[in-house]
Amino acid sequence: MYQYILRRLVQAIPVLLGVTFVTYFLVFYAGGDPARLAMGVRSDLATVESFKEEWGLNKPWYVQYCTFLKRLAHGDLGRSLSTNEEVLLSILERFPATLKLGLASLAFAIIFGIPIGIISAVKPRSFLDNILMVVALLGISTPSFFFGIILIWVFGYLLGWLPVSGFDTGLSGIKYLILPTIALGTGPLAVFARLTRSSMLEVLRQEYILTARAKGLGEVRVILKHALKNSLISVVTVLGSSLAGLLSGTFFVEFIFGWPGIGLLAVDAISNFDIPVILGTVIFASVLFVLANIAVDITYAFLDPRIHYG
Amino acid sequence: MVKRMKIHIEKLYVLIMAAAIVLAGIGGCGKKEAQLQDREGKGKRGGVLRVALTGELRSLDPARVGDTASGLIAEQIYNGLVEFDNELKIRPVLAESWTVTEGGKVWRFNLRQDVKFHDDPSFPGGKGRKLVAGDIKYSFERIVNANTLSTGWWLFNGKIKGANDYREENALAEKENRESRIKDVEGFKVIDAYTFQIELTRPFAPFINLMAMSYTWVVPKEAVEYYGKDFFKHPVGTGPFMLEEWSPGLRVIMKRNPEYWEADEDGVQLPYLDGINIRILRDNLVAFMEFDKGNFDYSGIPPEVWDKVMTKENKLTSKYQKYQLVKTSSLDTGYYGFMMTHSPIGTNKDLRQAFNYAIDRQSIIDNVLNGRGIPAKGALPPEMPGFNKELKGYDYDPAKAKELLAKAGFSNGFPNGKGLGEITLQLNSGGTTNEDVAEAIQDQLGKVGINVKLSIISWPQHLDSVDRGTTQFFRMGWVADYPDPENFLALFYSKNFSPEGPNSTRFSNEEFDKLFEEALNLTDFDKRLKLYQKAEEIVVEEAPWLFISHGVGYVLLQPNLRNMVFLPMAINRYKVVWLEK
Repeated sequence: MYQYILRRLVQAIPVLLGVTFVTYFLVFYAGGDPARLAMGVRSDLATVESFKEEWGLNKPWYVQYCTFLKRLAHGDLGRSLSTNEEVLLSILERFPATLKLGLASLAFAIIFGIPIGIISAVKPRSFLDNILMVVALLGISTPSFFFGIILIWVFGYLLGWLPVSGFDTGLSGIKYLILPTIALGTGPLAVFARLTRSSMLEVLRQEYILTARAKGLGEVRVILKHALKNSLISVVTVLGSSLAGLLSGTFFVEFIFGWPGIGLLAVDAISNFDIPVILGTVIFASVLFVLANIAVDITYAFLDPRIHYG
Repeated sequence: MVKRMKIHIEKLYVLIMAAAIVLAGIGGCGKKEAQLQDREGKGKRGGVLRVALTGELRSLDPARVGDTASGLIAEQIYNGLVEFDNELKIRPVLAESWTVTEGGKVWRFNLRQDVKFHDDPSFPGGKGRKLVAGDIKYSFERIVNANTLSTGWWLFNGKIKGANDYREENALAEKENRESRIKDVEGFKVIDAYTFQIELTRPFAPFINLMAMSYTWVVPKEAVEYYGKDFFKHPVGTGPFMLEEWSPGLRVIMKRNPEYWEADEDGVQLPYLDGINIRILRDNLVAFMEFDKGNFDYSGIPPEVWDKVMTKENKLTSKYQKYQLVKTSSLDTGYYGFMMTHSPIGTNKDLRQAFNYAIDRQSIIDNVLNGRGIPAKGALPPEMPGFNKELKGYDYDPAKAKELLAKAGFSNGFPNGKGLGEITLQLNSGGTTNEDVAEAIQDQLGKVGINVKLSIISWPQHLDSVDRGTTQFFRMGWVADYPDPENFLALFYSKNFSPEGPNSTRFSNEEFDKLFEEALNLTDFDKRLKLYQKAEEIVVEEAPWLFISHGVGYVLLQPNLRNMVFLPMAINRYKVVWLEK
């Protein structure tokens, strides 16, 4: 198992290199002059040039890329062109907020999504099933930023049950967490519900379920013990890609709710053409994504005894 | 006071809205202040102003404060030699008085002697010391020094005696890792502890305005050296408020400077407020909802709720009448530039005039901007000194536009004419308002036979293409740095071509240049204004811009917010704001 994890981590290195390369290439291909944006539109050419020199921005992009990789190898993501803050520091400062929102959303999606899927599968084509699946379809189709605004409008503004926006740490922060969690978590929730339903339906048709019922096991035990565990494998499979959705969703949800996370940092960096911060956030998100996928694969082994990692 | 030069209208809108939002009268008032509380209609002590800021701040180091969000915060923390009053006239701040000699070349400032820096660990014993003339010199030389990477160097570039030499030598010394041979900027002189003198290379009539800009706010050497690269997040100044917390992406908390030197006209110490809580929020609609819940003290009116809040006559609807409504102007001009180096538009005046006659500015303002604008007749906005009420400008006259097109040889309908082909209008993304205005103009130009295609690209790429001169028709805007016509007319001076200067259209006209240069050497304000008006007439006639509009905004205030003035150029003077109980 440890060997497997090690192998996966080593395999991740070319993936991450690829991500940095593509990002670097795209940033340069897009055009625009980061030095001019950083120094202000009133700056004279000499000032802009000296800024470029200071930051190595006057070199060809592949040279800059190599310098960047060298620094990266030392764990140095550089400093922001617009604020001069250390990029890694900014990311670490913002990460807890994003992690909190991401985990809460994932938990929300699992806690509600899987039971909804089970209920729908147990009574397929029933009224309840139809309603739940329509809701799930809406959940998948509604962009999180739009859903976020609607939630704020209804629960924050009109009804006043929850704060319109805000952030706090500790217990007092929970009231601020609820709406963004729902905004971000509803998409994956819907995915989980639909997947649980379809794989559960499949499993329920298997002969061992018939056997279990024939043995006289109670329906609840059949569903939760025998059917659910085998249905979950497909859900775990999409867990990895849901994380990607959560990460990109945070860009919009953080923006709407004024949530001080990494998504907001990235949005600002893109509009300021702040290359070190763009790259830093992309790399950080990629690392998270790769790690999450490895974790998902390991989870398989626990759910399905047929899967072994040697 | 935030110095932002080219701003897109969208950003401008954001800026106005964003400037801030809420306030809550939280503070109580102790008995010792009972007397203060009895002053009818005058400043009352206490309370915390709650503001929504819809942008991230970049830096609280004045040398690098160039964006609206940072400027709003930094303005509360620092002082400059002078500032703009509510009529946009210069009033003394750190400088008690000043004299100008040698035909406008030498400016001598007499400083106040009762100003102290905020208490900070960077000072011996943590106690702020008195501000002296050396601090002004130090702060100004930081802007000149290339190693500071100040975005405000353009203020002094070529204007201050010895500044360019100092900058070059210091940059070289840094590169060669040696001591600089030039220790001081010749034009910055400490005469005595409370007298500071600036010598210019040649007279620059609007010079005093530069001393009100954010870059020139004064910092203590101790703090800059103590915090080093992190000074931008540990600001230490002499201003009415002190920074208590800055959580990036979340909030900024400032508290009252109990030793602030300034007092109101009755001798009551400023500021009135106990503090300011600023929330960083990105979405204007969310900020508005927070305001309407009572969580911010003021707010703009986002387009999504405009019709709910405002009547057709731009009054408040009954539901929102509990709020105070303030109309603001922003000393800006929105325009589409013609790249004057490009044929055929740039080289054909009739064509450019045809564009100007073809658009109905008032209808765009009424229908697209919800009335938030004033049609632009020329380059100068109405509240700018020297604004010419008599300026004819371009009325909506599609017949005339067609006539001029024909004259220029570009009428589709004329037997011998040839069509103009498709003209690409380039604008930056990031604001549906920009796009809506562009579409309206596209439509109106289409009606006289000018076919326009919109190309919407990101701001960095847009700016880059304007810098390189590769676009022939582009959206741009200008917000005043200071209330002097020079600041706008510099956009047409032939020595100011972009990217080095703000003349993005590369407009060049000998007669204009002559008037502009002559005005710079004059110290008589009224005479200067006359010259500027003549210069502007040339600009209007030559039409390097498609003149569009000047911004107007509306802000809602909570019923108990007092003395909140929204000055153009994003100046927010919280030191005189108070909360009625």
